[in-house]
Amino acid sequence: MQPKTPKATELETTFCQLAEQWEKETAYWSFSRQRAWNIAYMKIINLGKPVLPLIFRELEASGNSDWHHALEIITGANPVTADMWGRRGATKKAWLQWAREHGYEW
Amino acid sequence: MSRRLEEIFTNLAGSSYEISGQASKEYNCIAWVMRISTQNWDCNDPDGYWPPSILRDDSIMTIMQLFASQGFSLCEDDTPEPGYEKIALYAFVGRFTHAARQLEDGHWTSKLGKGPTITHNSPANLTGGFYGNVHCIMRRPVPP
Repeated sequence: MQPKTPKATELETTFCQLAEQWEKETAYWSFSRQRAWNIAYMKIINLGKPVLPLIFRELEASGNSDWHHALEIITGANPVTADMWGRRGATKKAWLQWAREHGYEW
Repeated sequence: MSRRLEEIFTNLAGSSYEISGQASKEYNCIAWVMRISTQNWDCNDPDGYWPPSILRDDSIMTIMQLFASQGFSLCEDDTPEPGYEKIALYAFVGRFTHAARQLEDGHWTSKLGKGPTITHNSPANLTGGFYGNVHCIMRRPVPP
């Protein structure tokens, strides 16, 4: 995972490094929540609200629903309602819509 | 053979395992055990599939209920039995970690998370660390 721009911010660089570490360390876990139980993933959560645009950008690009847990913890929101569960792409669609409604750009 | 796999699953080293399928995020070990390669069976993933009648919980007891709902029942050991397919369920401190399925020739097949599928000699090849230990063996009649 590479920062988007040549002059990446320190936050962007940190996020990309942690996300890469997390992907590598959790590749062999079967469940989403098991993959979230990881130090690099928790460090991303600890970056707080400033990291949200980077997660939205990553979610839009990859569609990786594992970001749901981090987004839920950082924002305190959960736009993926019960009736959406089980649909492929539900996480991406719900969270990106939530992000736009709350004025985030990425 | 994969050095990275052997670093994580140390009991694979020196055994005659093979990587049988490429890494995929489209399905996980539970789906693979069910012979499905188009769904992630994941109780915690909003995008994943989970049977409505089963609690969204990764305790080994719940996962045993999940497999029971699919026709599996507990059995004595992993010795191949004609007419039955067997699965091994792994757990670490009470939480489900992995499932493997026995092949007709007695070998085992595993989908390693978002990683590749492998064929290995026995359930013990994946114990001892990442996946904990084999909690139980279950079996069901071979699907028609």
